Amino acid sequence: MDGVIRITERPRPPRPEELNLRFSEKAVKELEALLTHYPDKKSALLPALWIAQREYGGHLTADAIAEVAYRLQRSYAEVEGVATFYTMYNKVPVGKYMLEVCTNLTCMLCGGYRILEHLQQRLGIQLGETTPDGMFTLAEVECLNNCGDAPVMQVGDVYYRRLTPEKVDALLEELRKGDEHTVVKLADAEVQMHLAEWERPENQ
Amino acid sequence: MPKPKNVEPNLVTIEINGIPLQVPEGELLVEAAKRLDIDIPIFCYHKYMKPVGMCRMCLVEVGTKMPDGTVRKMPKPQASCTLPCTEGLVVWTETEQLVKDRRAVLEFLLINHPLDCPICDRGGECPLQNNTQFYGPSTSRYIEIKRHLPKAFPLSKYVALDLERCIQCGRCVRFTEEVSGDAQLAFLFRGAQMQPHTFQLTEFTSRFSGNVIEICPVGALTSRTYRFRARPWDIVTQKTICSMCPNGCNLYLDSRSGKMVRINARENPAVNETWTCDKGKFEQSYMHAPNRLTQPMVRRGKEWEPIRWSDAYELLLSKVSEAQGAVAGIAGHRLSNEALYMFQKLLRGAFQTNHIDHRLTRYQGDLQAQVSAKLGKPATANEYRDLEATSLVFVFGSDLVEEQPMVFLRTRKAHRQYGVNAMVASPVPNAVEEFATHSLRYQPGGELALIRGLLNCLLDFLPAERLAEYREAEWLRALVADATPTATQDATGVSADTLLAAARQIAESPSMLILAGEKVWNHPNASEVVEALVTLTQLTGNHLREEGGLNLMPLGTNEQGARDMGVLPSHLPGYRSVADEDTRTAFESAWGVSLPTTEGLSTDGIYQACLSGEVRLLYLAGANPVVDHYDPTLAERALRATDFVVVQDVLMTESAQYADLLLPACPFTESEGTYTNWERRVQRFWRAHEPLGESKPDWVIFADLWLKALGKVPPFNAREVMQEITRLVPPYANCTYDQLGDQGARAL
Repeated sequence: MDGVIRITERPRPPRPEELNLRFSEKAVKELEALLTHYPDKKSALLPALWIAQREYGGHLTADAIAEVAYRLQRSYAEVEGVATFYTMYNKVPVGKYMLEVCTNLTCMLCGGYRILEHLQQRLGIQLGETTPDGMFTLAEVECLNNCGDAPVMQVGDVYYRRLTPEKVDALLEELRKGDEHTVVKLADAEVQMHLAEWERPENQ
Repeated sequence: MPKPKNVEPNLVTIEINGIPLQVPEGELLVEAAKRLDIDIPIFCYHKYMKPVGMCRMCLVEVGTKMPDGTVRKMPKPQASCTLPCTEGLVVWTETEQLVKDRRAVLEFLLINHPLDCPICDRGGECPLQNNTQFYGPSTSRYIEIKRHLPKAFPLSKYVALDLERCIQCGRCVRFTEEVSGDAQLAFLFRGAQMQPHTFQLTEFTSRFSGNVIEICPVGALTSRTYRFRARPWDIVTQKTICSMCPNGCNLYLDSRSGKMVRINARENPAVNETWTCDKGKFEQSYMHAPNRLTQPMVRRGKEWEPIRWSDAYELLLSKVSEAQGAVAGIAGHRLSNEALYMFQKLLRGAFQTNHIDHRLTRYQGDLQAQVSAKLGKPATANEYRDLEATSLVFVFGSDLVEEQPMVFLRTRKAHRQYGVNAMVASPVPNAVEEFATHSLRYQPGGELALIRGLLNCLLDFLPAERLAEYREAEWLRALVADATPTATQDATGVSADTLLAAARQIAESPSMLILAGEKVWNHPNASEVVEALVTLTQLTGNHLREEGGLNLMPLGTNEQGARDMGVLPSHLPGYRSVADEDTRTAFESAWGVSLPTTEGLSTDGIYQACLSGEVRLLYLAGANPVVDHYDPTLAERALRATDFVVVQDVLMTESAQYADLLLPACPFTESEGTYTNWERRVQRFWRAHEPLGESKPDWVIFADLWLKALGKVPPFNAREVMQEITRLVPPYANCTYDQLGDQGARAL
């Protein structure tokens, strides 16, 4: 038909054979075990995304989302919709330590924003950014359910309570020494939480 | 659970705004209110999708009638789209509370809506505009900055997405999940950022993508082909039927200044609900193609010379009399029933020939007659709603999504919504495989061996009572004894396990509906394949079930009509043999002519006769065999060899290059008529445009020739042609234009 506006055409969605599958043998086994927990494959979506977050090094790339969709036989868009709905699935690369500072009511009153500003200054990054050395990502989160010890910050699955700028400096020093990828570790913990002892690949 | 057919619903009494009303139990309140013409504003609710209650626009106040006659009112308004009607339900749709509620909902929706209505394609036919007009606030209290998002984002060749206008009703997302089933759209992010989108902004490749444009209640999803080409108020809308395939989808054709600008679906619950495929919606523009024929032309050497219609008729008739009965005609599948009827009437009555056909497939025997004779049912036994009532749909040798897009859509919907199982046998990748329980990917040509293999397994799996009812089980057992699963695996490439599993599913399904397609029609042994399919139907007892049975799906738009109208060498309209004396007499007295008594040649026979000089004049009406015939070179040689070729068509087709006389015909948009779809539903289409140039509707050309050749009064309009058909063709007795109405009727 005439009158059609020519705008750059979109890339087409990948075919199954074009996917770059990266799940390790262990991950595949874990997913198989998870699938036995649910009546259908769709229900395993959240834990499967945790596996993907671990396997893809701390964040969900397009490939990761496509792989989960492929393995659960769901559409790509549906899995992406779920992955983007939940904030704990990272959509962009993150550092080894995700510094999640609470700025909800109690923390705010007790200086949560001061902690946040201090971190921004120390690390030279803004909210949602990652330090160039790939160590820290800074995030602002809602209530961490530890108001009695405000202000609070979560790193991986550890809470740091009653923070002051000095405590934060000391913590950063300490964290720099470690070489654990806490984001990947947290993802793994989420996966293991879903699996019974005997279902874990190392016990099979 | 499959959706049972013809179940009488329980009626309950409800009361809306003080008016008592009886409705089927469980009917959604929003639908029940329509019975009283009470308007409940909606955004997210859609009649053919599951309700979700997302937009809160359809809130009503409800209560329950207590035994003592008092009404107990619910404390809060309820969403009428998710509320099923129960006995004693009392509803108010126009209270002061609701006026406030609706105004508030609309105020929230309009906070981020850009209100760029002046340049929005939806403007003028937009539910958001309309609801705001009737229920919304007249002024906005919002003075902050609105959300800004990409505009006119091209999702595909056909669909553009404007995220700013989106009100997150989820209709498009639910359509791709529930109806088309490919789930290509999903809501990404959440809260204020929530937006419907494809995976990683890739192309929206669904074959039914156009539907989301129509169901979008705002201008967020717009058509790229229609964009900025018209305003709704300067569009002229005409009812029509799709001419792209035999599914017979009901459409609206929207035109501006006599040019088609877009096609929308027209609701017909029995056929396409409110859906269309992209082929019918976007690719149907041949009526405005640059190679339209606009005047009769005669060949002078290599050149075409325009002539007057009267001269063209005279030339044609003189050539016919020169040919002395060596005349043959082939009709195309896009002709209306009226045109097809007049075509065969002209050739039989005036040109005294039975060399008439419409078939371009390899097998030109009579497969349908074979089926009807064995099963006592028409060769397409079922209708659309049977797809939802049966428990297994077996797609055999058909690229369903290409050949029958709407049947594909309804099958997929039946699978998603009612748990109807699907099974597919195809030599190449097939879209049905995506939701089929079993996929039998056989080697090309393996159709017969595959069914024999299935029959062999079924004899073991079917319960003894069934086999006893079948009666010929022992004969069949001997016949397919060598078609063991392993032998079938060798012959077809379908693994024995898959075959056994498929056979087991057939045996365990209470009913099965077979859709046989192109691979059967073009099979060298089509007759045997059909025989085997008939046996499969009989063995499983599905010819006795209303929701099961065998369907040989026609491939051309009005192929079914061509058959019914007697565009066959052997049969007069209504499928009665030309050799039958009584039938012939009936037609002879009705038409006032004598008719040829011997059977004519089928398409291939006509071509051979053209090559040998036995046919000297070939009349192609809307047929383009050089492209569409299964053996194009044969068709081409035949056209070259024939003395005089008349081509009557809408476009300058490939076959028209071989013509000696060209007669310009109108497409379906410029004429009136009916099409018969695969389920033998006869449906009317109306004239939307004036004929281009000097072109005439096909049936008018045949009627003119009838008048000139015989001096007999022809019918004066399409309605009269159909009246003649209803008198002479018993299955069409219920098909007068008045009886057909907007929604058509199934031929008897």
